[in-house]
Amino acid sequence: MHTINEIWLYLHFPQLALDAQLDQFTAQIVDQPYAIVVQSRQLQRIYCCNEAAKKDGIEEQMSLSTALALCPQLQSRTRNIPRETDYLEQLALAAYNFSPVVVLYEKIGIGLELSRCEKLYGDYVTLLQQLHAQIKKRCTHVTSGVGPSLQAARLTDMSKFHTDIPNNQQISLKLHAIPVDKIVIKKSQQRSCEQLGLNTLGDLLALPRSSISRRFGHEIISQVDQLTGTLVKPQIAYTPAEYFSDQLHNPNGIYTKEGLYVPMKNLLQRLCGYLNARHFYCRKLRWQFSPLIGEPQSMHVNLSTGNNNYMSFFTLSRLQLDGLQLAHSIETITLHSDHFIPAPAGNLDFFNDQKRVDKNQLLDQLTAKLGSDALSQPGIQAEYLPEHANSKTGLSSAKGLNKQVFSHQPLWLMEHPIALSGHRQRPFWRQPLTLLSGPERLSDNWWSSEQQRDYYLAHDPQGSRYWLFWEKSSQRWFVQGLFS
Amino acid sequence: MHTTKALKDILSRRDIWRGYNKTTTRQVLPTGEPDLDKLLHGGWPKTALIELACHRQGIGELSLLLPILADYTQTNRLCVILNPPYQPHAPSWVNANIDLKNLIVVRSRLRSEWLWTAEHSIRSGALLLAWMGRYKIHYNDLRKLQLAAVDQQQSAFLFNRPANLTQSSPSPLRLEVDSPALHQLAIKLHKLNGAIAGSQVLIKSLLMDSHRMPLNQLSVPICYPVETKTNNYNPEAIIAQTLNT
Repeated sequence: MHTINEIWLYLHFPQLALDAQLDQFTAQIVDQPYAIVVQSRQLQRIYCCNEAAKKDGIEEQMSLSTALALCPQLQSRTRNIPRETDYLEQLALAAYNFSPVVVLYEKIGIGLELSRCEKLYGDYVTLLQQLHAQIKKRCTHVTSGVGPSLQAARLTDMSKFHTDIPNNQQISLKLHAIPVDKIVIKKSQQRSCEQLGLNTLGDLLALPRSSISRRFGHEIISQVDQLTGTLVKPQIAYTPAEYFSDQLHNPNGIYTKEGLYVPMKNLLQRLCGYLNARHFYCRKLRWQFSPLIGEPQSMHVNLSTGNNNYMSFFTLSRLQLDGLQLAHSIETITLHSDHFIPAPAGNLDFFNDQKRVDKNQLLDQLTAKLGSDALSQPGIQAEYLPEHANSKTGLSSAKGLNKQVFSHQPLWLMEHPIALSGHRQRPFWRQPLTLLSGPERLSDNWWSSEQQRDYYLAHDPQGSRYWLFWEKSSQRWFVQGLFS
Repeated sequence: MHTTKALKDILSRRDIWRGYNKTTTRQVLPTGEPDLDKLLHGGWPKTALIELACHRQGIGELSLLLPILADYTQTNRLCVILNPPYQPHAPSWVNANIDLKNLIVVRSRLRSEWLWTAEHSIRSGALLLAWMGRYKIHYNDLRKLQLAAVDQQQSAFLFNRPANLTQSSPSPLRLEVDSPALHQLAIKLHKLNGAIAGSQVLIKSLLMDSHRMPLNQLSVPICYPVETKTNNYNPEAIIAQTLNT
């Protein structure tokens, strides 16, 4: 009895073709008989069907015409292999959060190496229960097999999803019970095995290796070694894609914005799973809402700092969606993101009793609701003329704003200086103004159109104080600010 | 007996108006003006929507809030300036020790956006300074803002017109701000729990540099430069001349 080094879990999805097309979004039609068909010699055959269809007597490999005769309500779709591949990758992403070694097995199943993952979850039962819960969120049916290698795990009993890992002895017993005909060997070799009474892998392993090699060739030895885990077959490990893109379909269409919330949340949860798997924060989301007829509409959600919280993403997306004019009915929702930053190794508040919302979160929400044009930050530019020195900067460019200046200037500045009537000694704006102090001379822009201004403080009879200047070139008074 | 207990329970609630009773403990933020602090029983109430009805702009009304703005922004908390009448002049705000990184100016296009921004800012823990401008804000809207301020234990300042003072309001503090004389602010109390309505304080609001220096009295005589035609400017000739010398 050899030592087991690796523990492989193989996940099998009997209804992958069906799940890939029906997904969560259309869960309401799971109760209806549904089948996936494939073209086979000018005949459409049932490839896969759901439980409701099976109850009506529909079986795999049955022709579609027979199936429809048995169940006229049967809804069918043609098998979509690219979508199945995408779907399997999404399931692999969910599995990737549980094990660093995930393998897509021939685009039909997923293998996970679990031997070093127990400690994080305390025990294998917890790990497998959580994995099952995550996978079940995405698919209707999943079974599993356990073995010392991926090949062995695939050949063991896969009648259900096992939520415990058998010990080494049990794994060995299961391995020995694998029927010989499941090993890829020639028909003549199969017949020889039968004649020799070698029905299981255990029977084969009981023979000396030299004897097996002499009777059946060297290939079978390497196959057996792969099954027992003594020979490791190189596998291409799954790695998450460089960007996230996922979509949900509803053939019935969605007619209200509120109806979009649930599928949007689902997609954002998947995005967060992706972000967690890659230890990333997201900075930008792109939504696409595609109607049945017409052009799809896009919506970009920007975040001032990265985030990996799906509720924050959802709040921002919902706020922005409020201001978007959508088509009458939406059939497909797509979420795309490729703007990531490494997740910071920040500390979390252990007690977290503060109700305060993060500053950046508020800025993102205001931007999402009102648009980026509605928000600005006062800033200082290296200019002499006040209207140029005082700049409105966007939120992203808010750096190096603070600069100490000592001359006394007003708190409010007009967008553009307003020309006043009145002569040199007595400016007039709605009423006569009295000069309080000044002047302070500013001379600028000499290379294009020279601006020479003498700034004064003035007040009106009611006590409001203004910042005025006398412009030399136009020989006029202008009001530029208010001392609030 | 039962009635007394029920009454006690009701009176212990924070939102019950108790006339001249000053015993209720309140969290306050000092205004920076001792006279105003005295009028407001310690300072700006910390969990309240505060209405400031200003007769005019430019009389120094905003200078009342500069200390609290400086305190907030310097401690890395956000201040939202909603629909201000003019553009903030950054150098002056910096002079008042306000960290511009934590100051955000929001311009709403609709009344609904104004209300959403105001409530959301308060609920997010930002210090709100909002100008009502042309919007009509109803009692229920103000009530929402007041509830948000109480929930978040957060002050919020609302600048409105004196005409609004005739309408009832759920704000715990309502003040009227006027300028009876130059460099002087008169602050009249219209509503505050435990205070007498109509009380008034006068605050000086001097500008730092308030003496006038006529041009002809400047110590250094200033002459406007002689007009030069821009056509005479020939950079190539200047460069050639420099190289020759």
